[in-house]
Amino acid sequence: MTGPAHIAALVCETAGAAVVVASALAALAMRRAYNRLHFLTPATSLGAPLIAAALVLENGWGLTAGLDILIVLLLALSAPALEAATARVLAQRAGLIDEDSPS
Amino acid sequence: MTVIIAVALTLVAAIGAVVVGTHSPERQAVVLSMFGMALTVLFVTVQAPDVALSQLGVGAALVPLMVMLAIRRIRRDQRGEARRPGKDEE
Amino acid sequence: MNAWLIGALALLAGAFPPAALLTARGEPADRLIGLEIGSVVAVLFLLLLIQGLGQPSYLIVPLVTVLVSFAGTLVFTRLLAPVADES
Repeated sequence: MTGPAHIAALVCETAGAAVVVASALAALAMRRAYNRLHFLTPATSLGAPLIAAALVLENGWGLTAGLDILIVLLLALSAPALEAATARVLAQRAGLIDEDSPS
Repeated sequence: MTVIIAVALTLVAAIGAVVVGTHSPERQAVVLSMFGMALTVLFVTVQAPDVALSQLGVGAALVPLMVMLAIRRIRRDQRGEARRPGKDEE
Repeated sequence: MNAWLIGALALLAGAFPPAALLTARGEPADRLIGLEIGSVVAVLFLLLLIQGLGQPSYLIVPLVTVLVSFAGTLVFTRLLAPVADES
């Protein structure tokens, strides 16, 4: 199990996990909620695809890899919607925008 | 593997303590949802995916939703009573 | 402990506690950000853990986690929004 694909998978896995851990710690270090919200993006759009790439490199193309890719794709697609909705609630509660402004 | 189970158990204990220590129900609902996520992680770690699935449905989605709906309804009723005092007594 | 389990442990010990700490402080809407980061971390942890255990049939759990956490967070954003007074 020491082929080049395995090595590449380990590199991708390490990089992806490092990106996710770093973005979680950075979100904790930010002071304002709007700044924290931005650190969801590197975790879902950089860290998650790196981990998916590692899993595909390890497993080869198949049902397992397909399901992994589907999960990460859903994660990356749902994160922007969640961020926008959360930012809207934050702004509404801070009184920056009206309750019935178009989303 | 034992290390992962130990870390997951510690996280469940810590977040459970935070849920108990939070006073405002709105905030408690969000922490409760996080607690459900930690329990799901623990159940998959001890290799019980079916238990994790039911925990996910109940703990991460259903209970916080019902708590939030109940809080919202109570707030609305309280505000309605404050605006029209004495309407319910007749 | 293979490399996947070590990566999963790194995620669980390094990225889940900060997210949990974010849910433990501040206003309800601020805590929502911690919940979002926490569910992303939980899904990625589950992917690595399942790869490390060699049990691909467990993959239904992270799939359902993504969908349920998306719906749950949207519900939270609807219900945490301030109620319009004039209605």
